[in-house]
Amino acid sequence: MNSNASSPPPAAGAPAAGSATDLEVRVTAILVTAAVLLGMVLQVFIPPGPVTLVAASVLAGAVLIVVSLLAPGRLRATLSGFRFTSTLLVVLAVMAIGGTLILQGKPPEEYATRYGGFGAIIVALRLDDIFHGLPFALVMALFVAAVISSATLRWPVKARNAGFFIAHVGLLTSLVGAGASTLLARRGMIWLPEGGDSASAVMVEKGPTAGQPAPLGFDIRLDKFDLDRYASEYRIGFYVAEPGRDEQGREVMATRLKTSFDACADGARCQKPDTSKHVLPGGDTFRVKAWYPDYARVARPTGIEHGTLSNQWRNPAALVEWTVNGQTREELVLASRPQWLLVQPPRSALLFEKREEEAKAYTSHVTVTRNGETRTGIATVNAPLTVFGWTFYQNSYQPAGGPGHMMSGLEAVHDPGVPWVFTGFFLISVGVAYMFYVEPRLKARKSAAAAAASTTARAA
Amino acid sequence: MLQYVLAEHPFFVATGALYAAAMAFYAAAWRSTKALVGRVGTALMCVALLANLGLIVQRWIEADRAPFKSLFESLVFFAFTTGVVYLVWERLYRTRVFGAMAMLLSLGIIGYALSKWDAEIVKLPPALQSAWFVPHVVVYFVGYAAVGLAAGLAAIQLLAPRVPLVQRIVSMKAGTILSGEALDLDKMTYELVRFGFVLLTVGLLVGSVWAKSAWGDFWVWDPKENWSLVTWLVYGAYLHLRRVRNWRGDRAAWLCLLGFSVVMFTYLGMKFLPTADASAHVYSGE
Repeated sequence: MNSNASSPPPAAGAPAAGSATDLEVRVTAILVTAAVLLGMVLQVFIPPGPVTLVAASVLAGAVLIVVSLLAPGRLRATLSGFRFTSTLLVVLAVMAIGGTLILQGKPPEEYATRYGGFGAIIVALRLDDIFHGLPFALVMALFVAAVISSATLRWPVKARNAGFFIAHVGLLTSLVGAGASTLLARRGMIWLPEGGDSASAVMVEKGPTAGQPAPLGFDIRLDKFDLDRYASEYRIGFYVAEPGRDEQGREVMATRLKTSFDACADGARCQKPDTSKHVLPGGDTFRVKAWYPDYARVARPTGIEHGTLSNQWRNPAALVEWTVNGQTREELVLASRPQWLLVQPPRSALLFEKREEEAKAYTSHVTVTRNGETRTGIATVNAPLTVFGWTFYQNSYQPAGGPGHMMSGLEAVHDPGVPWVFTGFFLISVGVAYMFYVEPRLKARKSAAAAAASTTARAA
Repeated sequence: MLQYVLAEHPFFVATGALYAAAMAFYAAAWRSTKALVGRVGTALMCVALLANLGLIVQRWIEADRAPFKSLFESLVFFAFTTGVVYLVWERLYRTRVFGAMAMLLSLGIIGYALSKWDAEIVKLPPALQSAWFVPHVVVYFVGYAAVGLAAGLAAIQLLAPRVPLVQRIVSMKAGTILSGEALDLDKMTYELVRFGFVLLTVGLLVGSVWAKSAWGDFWVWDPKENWSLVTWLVYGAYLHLRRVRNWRGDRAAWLCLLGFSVVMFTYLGMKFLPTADASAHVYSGE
């Protein structure tokens, strides 16, 4: 491969290098501009959507490849050239950025509310669904054509260019899988009440059949829902009151946690509570002189004193000693009755508190029944359940019905494109790694061998 | 504030100080005729990396999870990967000319982390409790470090012909260029990008596989996903343009700088996007 040229060497009788480059630049500019402009015009008549995206990409890509094979001139060389691909990558990057600057897939009214007068323009130009629109589809068609052309031009594959070929085959495989997903995947949320009714269909949320129910082909029922939370932990929080605005835009003072000192370094086990002295951001200091995990006032021979009934953190209290501007104070504070201890700088305070018990894991235990055959399974976050061709992802939950009862939100997905996509990912990773880690070494070895042979020949 | 940081986080301050000391010795090696000065720079950097690793391990133990959840934690890890990638690079190319630049990067990241200190150690939500979490983050941050160093080299490549001081620094000096060969900044930048691009590719694809197992979809056009794709596309364009006539030298260096700007925006800029609310990827602590 010519390392300095943007495309394979011209055939005999082809224009000189300078004019060939100019021609390639012109063809690139025409193709890319035409794809975007044609897409924008046709989009007035053909709405964006999954079918539009896939059909336009496949059709336009196929036409372009056929034309490039039949047409004389440098069309095929341009399509498979590095300059053309680079241009496409930049155009795709611009489109991807556009999709993060403008909200995607929202109802038209939302654009008017959010963007004012521009909202109507955004909707009219279909910039509200960039990634299903025709300009994107036609640029993808150019990309597919470029990948196929450049890969086929490097046939047969050799050790020196295997990475390029594998990576580009991987790209195509992923794109084919993504196309199949876009067209054929059915997905939607199923909300199952714990111990309640079963579901046998899912309302499709995306794709050509969006809004229609898709039968699962079986019944699924939630037997049990487990919600695990992180264990209770306690801390001394350092808060600062800062001016802010509430939802109505009114000025309010809001307390904000700036730093915190956990009661125990060993988390919820909390065998050795922290009694060391700490410096605060304002320069004041504090320490907890004594911890009472299960606080009670205890009668002793010396009188009624602070004490703990057990080592279980049931009703913790802390005897805090803190120094403000050189003056030392002491206060017993209970986590069940939060109390501010003022420190420097102004509007700052310490607070002994219980941390929020965040969700650690949630799991659905389900039973699936089809034609009398019954299966049980578990779906948890990051470990979906696959059964009879559908996969259930644990996505959400909410309280339901009586106390302690939950509704589990499972994303039901049937997606025949995924194996192709992941096979493509694997090939891309292998191809790119080979291309950039292995091939340079093979080339260097070959160059060294050639240099050694040349030196030997000269010496002879 | 300084008193608080010194008293409560001395190990963190020591790490920053070690990076600063390594930077000073690397800079001194530009003028020194003694190889020892550069060697001390490398030794200090190794100690700084050990201290940085200590911060990561300490946090891992405290949090009882991989310390990559918050922006602060990721910055501490980024400073470490930048140092490690530089160290390997120094060994491979046998030059210490750019040690000061690499240490400035690590020190700057540590300094920025100080301004993003976590108010609390955040618990790991269920979606992040995945076997993909650590490989995804590690691969990405080693990739970020590689393209970050490449951007530094690209900046030097652009400055050298225009600023005499930079030109002098990248010229031959005892103690800094151990191979004795002239530096080909363009080639070095390219090779770093090439190395980083593979990792960015794997990171992007691993993230996609993880998204599938967590949420059921491998690509949802989330702003962070989009910007990761933009990063990949820009560096893809850089690598393709390497084969196009007149796209080496200054043009390639500018493109490399653009690529790293995109990386930084992908990493730190998501909250500025009008679509940020729709993202599941905004760091806690931002």
